[in-house]
Order: sequence, then C-alpha cells, then structure tokens
Amino acid sequence: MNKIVNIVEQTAGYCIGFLAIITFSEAILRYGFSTHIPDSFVFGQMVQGIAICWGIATCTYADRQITVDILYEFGGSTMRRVCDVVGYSVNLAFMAAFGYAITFKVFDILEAGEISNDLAVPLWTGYTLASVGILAAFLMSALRWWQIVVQRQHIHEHIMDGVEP
Amino acid sequence: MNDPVTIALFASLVVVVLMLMRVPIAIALGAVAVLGFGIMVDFEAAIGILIDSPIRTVTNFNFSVIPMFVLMGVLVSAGGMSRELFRAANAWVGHLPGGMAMATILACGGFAAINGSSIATAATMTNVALPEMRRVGYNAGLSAGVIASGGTLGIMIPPSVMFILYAIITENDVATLFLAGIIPGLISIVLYCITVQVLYHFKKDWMPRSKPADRKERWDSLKDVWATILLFVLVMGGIYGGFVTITEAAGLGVLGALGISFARKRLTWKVTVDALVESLRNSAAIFFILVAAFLFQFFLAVTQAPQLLASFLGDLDIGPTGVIVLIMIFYILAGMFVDGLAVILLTIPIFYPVVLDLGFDPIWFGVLVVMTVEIGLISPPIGMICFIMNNMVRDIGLVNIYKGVLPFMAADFVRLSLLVSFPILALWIPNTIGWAAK
Repeated sequence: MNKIVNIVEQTAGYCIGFLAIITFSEAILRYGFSTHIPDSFVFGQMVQGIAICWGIATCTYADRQITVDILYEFGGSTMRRVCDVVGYSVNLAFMAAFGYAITFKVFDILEAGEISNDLAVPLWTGYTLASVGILAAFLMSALRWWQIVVQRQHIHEHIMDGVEP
Repeated sequence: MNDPVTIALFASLVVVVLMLMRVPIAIALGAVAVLGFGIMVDFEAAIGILIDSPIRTVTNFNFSVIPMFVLMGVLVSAGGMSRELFRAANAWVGHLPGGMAMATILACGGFAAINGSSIATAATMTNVALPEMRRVGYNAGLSAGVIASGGTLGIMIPPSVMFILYAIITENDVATLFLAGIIPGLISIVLYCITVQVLYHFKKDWMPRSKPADRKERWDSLKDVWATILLFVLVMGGIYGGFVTITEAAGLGVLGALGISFARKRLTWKVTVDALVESLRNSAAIFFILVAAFLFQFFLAVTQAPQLLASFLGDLDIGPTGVIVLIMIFYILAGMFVDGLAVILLTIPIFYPVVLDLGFDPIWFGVLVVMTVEIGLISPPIGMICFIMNNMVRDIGLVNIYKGVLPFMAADFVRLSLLVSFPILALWIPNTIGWAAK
C-alpha cells in the first residue's frame, strides 16, 4: 500500500513540476515568439486539479492534513481516543459527501460534452482523473476510520514508511 | 435557533470544537459550511455548492502561483542557498557582539527573499545556523528563538505565500502586496538585531563573540551569494520590470531555482523528486483549506454575519483605529491556537468589508494581518514554528524555545504598533513606484 501511495504521490508531484514548465514555456513562447502552446491554460488547470486532488488523497492516507493538536498533544489517552473517534468519523463523512459531489460534477461535464478550445480535448478526462483522487481520499479515510475507530489501532503504527505525520 | 446570527455563531463554535478535537481544519470548515448552508437554505443547494465550488478552486489557474512558489521555496532549500547566505552574513557581522545571532537573522531575511514560507525558512535555518551557534557556545533557547523569529520573515519579505492568499481572497494585487511587505520586513530585521543587542547587554555569556573573519574570507563568502541574488532579480525583476505576470514569475522562479541548483550540481534527481513531493504535500494542504474556506464563505454569506459584524464594529464607540486594534488582538489570539493560514482564510471575508467601510487601505490591512499571523507562528501555546523546531531538535525543549522567542515577540509588537500608527511604512513603496498590475 505504501509503495502505491508513494508512486501516486510522485506522479502528482511531477504534475506540479509540469505546471511550472507549462507556465514558463507559455511565457517564453508568448513574449519571445508571439505564439502559444495550444490549450496550455486548460492543461495547466487540469494538471493542477489532478495534482491537488491526488495530493489530498495521499495527505489523508498519511494523516498529514493541517490540524490543531493542542488537546491531542496534552490530553490523556481517553481524550486522544475521543479525538480519534470524532476526527476520523467527521473526516469520513465529509469525504463521502465530497466524493459523491465530485462524481456528480464529472457526469455533469460528461453530459454537457465540454471540450477545450484549441485541441477539442474532452474536459471530462481531466475532471475524471481529479475526481478519482477525491474518491481515493474517501477510500483512504474509510480505511483509517476502520483501523483507528473500529480496530482501535494507534495512528502512528500506520503512517507510511518514511512519511512523517 | 432560526436566527441567522445565532446559527453563524453556533457554527463558528462547532468549527472551533471540531478543530480542537483534531478534525483537520479543512474538514471542520467544510463540514460545518455544508451542514450550515443546508440548514439555512436547503440540503440540495448545499450539495450543489459542494459540487461546483471545490473543483473550481482546485482547477483555478490563477491559484497555480501557490504550488509554484511553494516548489520554488522547497528547491532553494534543497539547493543549499541558505548555507551560503549564513556564511556570508556570519563572515561580515559574526565578530560583532551577538554577531552570529544577527548573521542568522540577516540570512533568514535573505532567504525569505527567495522563499515564501516561514516554516521552510525556519526549518532550513535550523539545519544551517543552529549547529554553528551551539558549536560556539550560544545559549540553546536563545539560538532557537533567533531562528524561529527570523523564520517568520519568510512570509513578510516577498515572495510570500500568505500575501498571495490574502490577495486571492480579497481580490487585491499580489505584486502591490509584495512591495508593501518590503519595509515592514526590513524593520523586522532591524528590530530583531536591536533585540539581540539588548539581550547581549544583559546576558553576555549567552552569546560568546567569535573571531573576525579576514578580508579574503569576507569577500570570498560573497561569491556564492550570486545565486540568491540572481533568483531574486529573475522573479522580482520579472514582475516589476513588467516582463511577466505573477504566475509566470512563479514558473520562472521554479525553473530558475532548478537550473541554478543543477548547474551547481546541488540537486540530484532523487532530491528533485523529493522536492516535488514535498511541494505537493504542502500545496494540497493549503488548497484543501482554501476549498473549505470558500465553502464557509457561502455559508457566511447566507447568514449575513459579516455585514452584521461590520455594522456592530462600526457602531462601537472606539473609533476606526480602535476597531483595527480590536481586530489585531483577535488575530493575535486566534493565531496562538489555530494555523495562520486557516485564520486568514476564515476571517478575512468577515473583517475585510469592515476595514474597507472604515476607510482603511486594503493593502496596509493585508500587511497588518500577515504580520499578526507571523506573531502567531511563534506564540505559545501552539506556535507552529516552535513545534516544528522542537521536532527537529529534541534536546532544547519546547519551553526553552518559547522562552527564546519571547524577546523577539516584543520586537514584533513594537513593529505592529509602528505599522498601525504609520500606515505609510507599508504604503510608501507601492505609492512611490506607482505600481500598476500587469
């Protein structure tokens, strides 16, 4: 599992690099040669959306979302247990709604048949890849909820190798 | 409970409670926003905003400036530019009383000019300056305090991720905000150095003096700083020379940092991939909060709480400056407990209209807000930078780090008072240059 998440994370990381390359190249072409990369704006949008959605998924898996740890840090074991149950349950519920909503959005775009301006690339492709990231985030939060709330495991036992919480 | 204001207040309370229960900030905001909107309007409409708003946020190309500046910061950290800055600063001022502490602050300021994150600045300088300070016998708590405080310069001196977020939320010009941050950032460096001198006066044994570097060593130390200067000129020169937009400048910064570091053989493929992954993690966390903050704005809009708060604050018999001071106090208190990013994204939509109504300059207010978030980054009981330093260097202890930052927090309050009293400190450069967005 950790290996898969590492690969996903690296691929999404490349998307951030790709975003910088698109932006830089587009600027050079526009100012230097009065031309442009076809659909660079749409590609940039899609690459960014895919990277961020998959990034949210891997953050969810590795418990790396930004949290306020004051009660968890200084509370006793009962407080930590309460925090775990509430935290992971709310996380799961929100991700379920978010996953449903984004899937709905993809079907919406698919139905509308939206395409890009220059190359006529169907936009649902990019949105689908992004939405799969959010669905993966939902599955990751379900997995964490099962491990921590139901099986009462401690989160630090599950953090992927080499990734700090 | 049907009163919109009561619902808004109750919802805000629930957000705070959820955050304290270690629900991720983005989830706490998002969940309460959707539920609140459902209660106020209807649940079909609530799901409707969840369908449209988040995907619009994550695919908004105007926001691509965030991951790119984050990536640039990670790359320059990995490229070792901070070490060169520290070496140069130490060669020139290290022999003065409290010299290495001042060198650290100067290096933080220099590093902040090519990196938009306070946490990255502090974490990088912890690796670079802390071992040196401890090697020559500096007090551990003071050393940590100097680095933590110096790290906060990361979000004040441009480029700054916080200024970008403020600009996104308030639809102000990022380039103008960057210009407005320069003088407050420089004042911060001066005040931190004065603080070091005051501390040296009372605790000389905390800061042993080093031998002066010889002339050759001093000039040699400047040779390596060219990379930092070149990158700064590329990004800032590109923006203010009118050659590129902010987004393009961010892309230029990434490619510049990558090119310089590869040319100097400072980056391997593995380090580059690690940098990409780290920037992804940071960007995803920021975007998720951004997504939730926009959802929360929808909810707040239907409660009309911002307008009611605006009229409440406007009616207070404390004058416009009193309202600003009240808002600043709120930010400092909130920043002590909650991540600065969330504080800005959550509260700016509420306070911003109030500030505009009172006739204050939005750019000046942006600088004030970022400054108070800076203070929050090092204030007990949370102080994100202190926590991170404590994780990086276990033997100093969180309490000692807090003790170390306290004198510098006093300097921050002096700076905040100066800026509240003299808005021109932030506005002079943008006004003088007459900067207009490209």
